[in-house]
Amino acid sequence: MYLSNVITSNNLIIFISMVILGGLALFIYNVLKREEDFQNKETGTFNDYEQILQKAHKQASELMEVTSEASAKILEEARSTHEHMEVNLDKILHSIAEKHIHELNNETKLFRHAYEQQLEQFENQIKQNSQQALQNTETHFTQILEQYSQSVMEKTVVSKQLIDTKTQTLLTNMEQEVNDYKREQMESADTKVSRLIQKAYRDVLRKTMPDTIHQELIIESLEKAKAATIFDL
Amino acid sequence: MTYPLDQTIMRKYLRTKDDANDFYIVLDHLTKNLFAPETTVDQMLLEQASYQKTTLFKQLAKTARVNLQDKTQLQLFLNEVKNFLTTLPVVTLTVAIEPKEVMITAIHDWFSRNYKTLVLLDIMIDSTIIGGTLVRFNGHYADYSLKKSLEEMETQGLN
Repeated sequence: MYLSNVITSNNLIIFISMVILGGLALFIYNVLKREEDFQNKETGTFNDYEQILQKAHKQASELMEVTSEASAKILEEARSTHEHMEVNLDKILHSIAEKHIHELNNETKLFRHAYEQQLEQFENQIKQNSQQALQNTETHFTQILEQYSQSVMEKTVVSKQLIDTKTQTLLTNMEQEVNDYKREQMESADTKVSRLIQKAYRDVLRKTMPDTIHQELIIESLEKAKAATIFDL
Repeated sequence: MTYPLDQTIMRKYLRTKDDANDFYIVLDHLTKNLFAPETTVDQMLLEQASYQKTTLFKQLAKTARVNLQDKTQLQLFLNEVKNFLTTLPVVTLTVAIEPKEVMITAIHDWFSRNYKTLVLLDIMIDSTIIGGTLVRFNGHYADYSLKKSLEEMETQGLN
């Protein structure tokens, strides 16, 4: 049994191995076949490439020839053209410069014209504004002058009235002062005259009074002194 | 007072302060030279004093019963008279004119009539008072001048 089991197992293993080998062989075959196919395909492709390359090379060579010729031709033309261009470039630049100068002149002229117009306009505006301002100032000045004249007139009238009043007061005071002065002077003169008269009277009295009168006056004085108890003897 | 002094006799000769001063000077001279050798009172009076002063002195000495030959007694008498003179009251009167003797006599007589005491007059002159007198006595003063009277009249007249 055991043996049969073993045999069975070996067979199975062999079978499986054979199956695997078979599968492996098939796989390798397929791989190789594919490789071969690929190789073949690659070869064909390579050939195609080569043909194409050859064709391309040929075309390129042809093109190169054509190109070389063309290049030579172009170079020749270019040299010729360059010579012409140097000559023409001056003309062109000159022409361009002239054109630019012309345009610049035109632009300048236009600008100048516009500037002059603007300046003239500005000048006119200023003149107009100045005239307006002058007129306004004149009007305003005239108004101020009129107001000032009016004010001065009013103040003059008031001042005149004030001066009149003050003058009148001053005149009254002066008259009063003059009257007072006259009165004082008159009184002073009266007093002076009176004193002069009194002095003269006293001098005359003293010089003309007889000794007897003097003696009588002295005795009278002594009587008064006695009455006044001045002599406490 | 050792010796009585007769003021009646004095009133005759001593009216003013100057009279008293002069008399005092004479008395003082006599006192100082009373004991000088070979000098007599009569001789000194004759040389130094006026007739009036000599008379006054001799009358005073006579009424006082003073022996003029007794120099000790005379010395006492002289000192007493001098002391009396310094005690006499002096009335100062300012008048407008220089008074004549008549006026001084009249004034002095007025004092003699009104007061018993002998009074000496001290007369001063100020013409500006016009008339009347200014009286000064023993610290009292009174203006009885004509000037003042006129001023009062003028003031009353002006007012």
